[in-house]
Amino acid sequence: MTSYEFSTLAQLAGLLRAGARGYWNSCWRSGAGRRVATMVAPLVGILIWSGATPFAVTMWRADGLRRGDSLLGLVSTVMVVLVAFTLATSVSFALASIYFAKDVEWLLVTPIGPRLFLSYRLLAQFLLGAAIGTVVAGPAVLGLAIATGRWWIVPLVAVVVGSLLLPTMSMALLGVVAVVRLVPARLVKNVAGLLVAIVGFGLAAVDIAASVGSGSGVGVSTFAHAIRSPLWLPWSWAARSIVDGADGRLVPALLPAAALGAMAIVLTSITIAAAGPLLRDGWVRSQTTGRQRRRVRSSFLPLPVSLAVLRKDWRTLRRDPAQLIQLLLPIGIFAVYLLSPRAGGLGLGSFHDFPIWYGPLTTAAFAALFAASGLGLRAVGSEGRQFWCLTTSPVSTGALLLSKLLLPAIVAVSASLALMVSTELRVGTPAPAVLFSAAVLVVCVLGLSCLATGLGAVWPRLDWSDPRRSVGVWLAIFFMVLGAAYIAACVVGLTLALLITGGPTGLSSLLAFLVCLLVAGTTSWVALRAGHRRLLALES
Amino acid sequence: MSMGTPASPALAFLAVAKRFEDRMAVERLDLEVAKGELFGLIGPNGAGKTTTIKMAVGLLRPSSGRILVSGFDIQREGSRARRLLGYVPDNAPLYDKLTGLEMLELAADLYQVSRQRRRRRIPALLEALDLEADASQLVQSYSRGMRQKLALCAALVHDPEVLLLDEPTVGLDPVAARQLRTMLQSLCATGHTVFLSTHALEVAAVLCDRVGIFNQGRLVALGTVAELERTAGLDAAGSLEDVFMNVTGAEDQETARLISALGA
Repeated sequence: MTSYEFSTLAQLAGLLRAGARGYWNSCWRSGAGRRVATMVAPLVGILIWSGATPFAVTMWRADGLRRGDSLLGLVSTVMVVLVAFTLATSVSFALASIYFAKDVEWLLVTPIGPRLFLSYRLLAQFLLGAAIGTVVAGPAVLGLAIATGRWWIVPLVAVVVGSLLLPTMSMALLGVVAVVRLVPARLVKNVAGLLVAIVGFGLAAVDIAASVGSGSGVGVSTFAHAIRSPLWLPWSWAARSIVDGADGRLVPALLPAAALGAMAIVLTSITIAAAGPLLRDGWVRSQTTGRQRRRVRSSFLPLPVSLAVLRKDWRTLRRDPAQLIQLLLPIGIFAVYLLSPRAGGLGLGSFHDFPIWYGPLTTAAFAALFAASGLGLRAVGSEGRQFWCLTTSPVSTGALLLSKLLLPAIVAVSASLALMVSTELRVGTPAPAVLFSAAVLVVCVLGLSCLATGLGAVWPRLDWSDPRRSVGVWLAIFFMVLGAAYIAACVVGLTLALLITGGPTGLSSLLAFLVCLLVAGTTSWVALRAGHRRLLALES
Repeated sequence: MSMGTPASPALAFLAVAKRFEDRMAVERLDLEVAKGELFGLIGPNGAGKTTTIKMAVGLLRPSSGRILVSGFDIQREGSRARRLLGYVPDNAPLYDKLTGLEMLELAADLYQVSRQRRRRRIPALLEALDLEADASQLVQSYSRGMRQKLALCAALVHDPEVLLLDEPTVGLDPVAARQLRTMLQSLCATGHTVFLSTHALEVAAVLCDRVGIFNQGRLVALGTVAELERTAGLDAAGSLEDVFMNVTGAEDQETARLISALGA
């Protein structure tokens, strides 16, 4: 027998190395298509950065933005949003990676301790977040460095933001581990959705409460304004450090950065130390599946294939509360804002130069974007390894794709329609305007659902053990950007048609509707055709 | 049972090859399986058995060659060919959030089984495979063996002409394995065709009319068990396992590898 000596750091390095190899292999060794995508993606990234960085430089050089409080206000808002977003997403990420990832069982029987396991997961999440953050925020930070001529601002921002978000992630992780240790076994898988819902609705409630208190409109900026000033809040340190850095005050910039760094190390160490001992019991609970007998009485009534797939998708969704809440949360938050006493909707007042239905329509379309992302984008991916059940049946690929479109389309259309119409009725929109905006919204959201389903079929992720991971993070970001651009195209088309024809008359409304139909139809056709071609070529 | 072209073999592999990027998984396979035949494909891990079955049901496309199911090309006339097929994959992934009964209803809908037929067939299949009592449980609570049995039920709901099974006995207890064997034999007796891959050589020896031995992507031996034993020059005491070891050359390599690994 051989005796082994274990070094914690070496084990951690080994795990991270294996994770990096996994990413590399999935990029480089998973077929020619992936290799091409891996080569193309950085080029596209460089192109986007090349375009966005000069824009950021111009923005940072604008006098109004750089002056005192406005920069502090902007940076504070960004920090608060970052913390809130990280908190909400970390709950779901922690649950998926700690309890439902494929390698957990194996890792827990190896001689790595639970604290090391948690550290590994936390670091992996942090590194992924850092990569996404670099891609998204890179041009803004680079622009600031170029505009001020101080290159050390780049590492300063990296350290400050990293030190702010690492303890946020670790607190979410501790919360997840503690809750999973306490709840009954059969509910463990539902905890993800519940925790995310609590965090999401909690943040929305605080935001609305802050806006009601301050007497100004609703919005994250109001929330940030209300809580950014107190010096004891860490995001305030981060904002002050970045603002001082931008102004060239090195020492005042480094002091809060150092405090944040120290806080990150201490808090993360404490949370890992506290969460470690709770991990194993929670994991054992999460693996215990309660036997739930359902009252099933079959009528043996045959259904057309599309309805059979729709029924299957609906049953799968409603029996998975984690997924259901993940879908309903963004729609719920939109509803909370639209229907809150002071709100008048998310910035509905900013549409006062346009017809009364303009704001509710745009807001509801963005709510549908989240619904389409939650259902449409994962429509094909949610089949996972069970996809063979459909692909070995006599159903054609086209019929299959259209069947998978049904649930996202129905949910996105009905949810957004309910949001828009209820808001319109609350603000006294005339019936013809309600009908017109409803028709436009239905067309726009149908196109959005087709876009999501088509994109999801182009890049399906069928090899998962947790359905929430059936869509890759990059695809989700890509869809949100593309979906937002699509909604913008619909709205701009609509606006131009109304402006050109001189206002909301019968003819201009018809023209506006046709423009929207054209944008939606073209988008749907392109997306579904691409998805169909990909599915035809798919081998599993 | 839905019928294909009467004169055609149930399953025909015509010069079928499959190449994955850097390796040849199946090399020029020519094989015909007659209607009513129970054919077994055996071979070591990674020999290409699963790839062959996946090509036969249309999950993978051959790099060259054609596969005909009762005369219908699985690639060109996929829908018509798949209508005649039933498939049970290895360690069958099923919809966890459906109950057993709902899973079978879905399969019946996908194959457009009539109401009368499914009313008769679904309870009969559940009873035959001892799943009646668990039909209202979510699939996520099923054991591996129960999943395997449910997948078999789903594959049989539409009474397919050709049934393809990848490692069907893995995960089954001895009673269920025997039930399966009896069921497959009775299916073949009623004119159905069964094509299975297995590691369980004794199952293949007892059950199969003909056996093909796959090794490194090639069909290295084909025939009845008796024919294979004769070809391999074994005496009366020889078994299919001896033939397998002999044909694949696995015994010497495996023994040497094991001794070497244990001593490392």
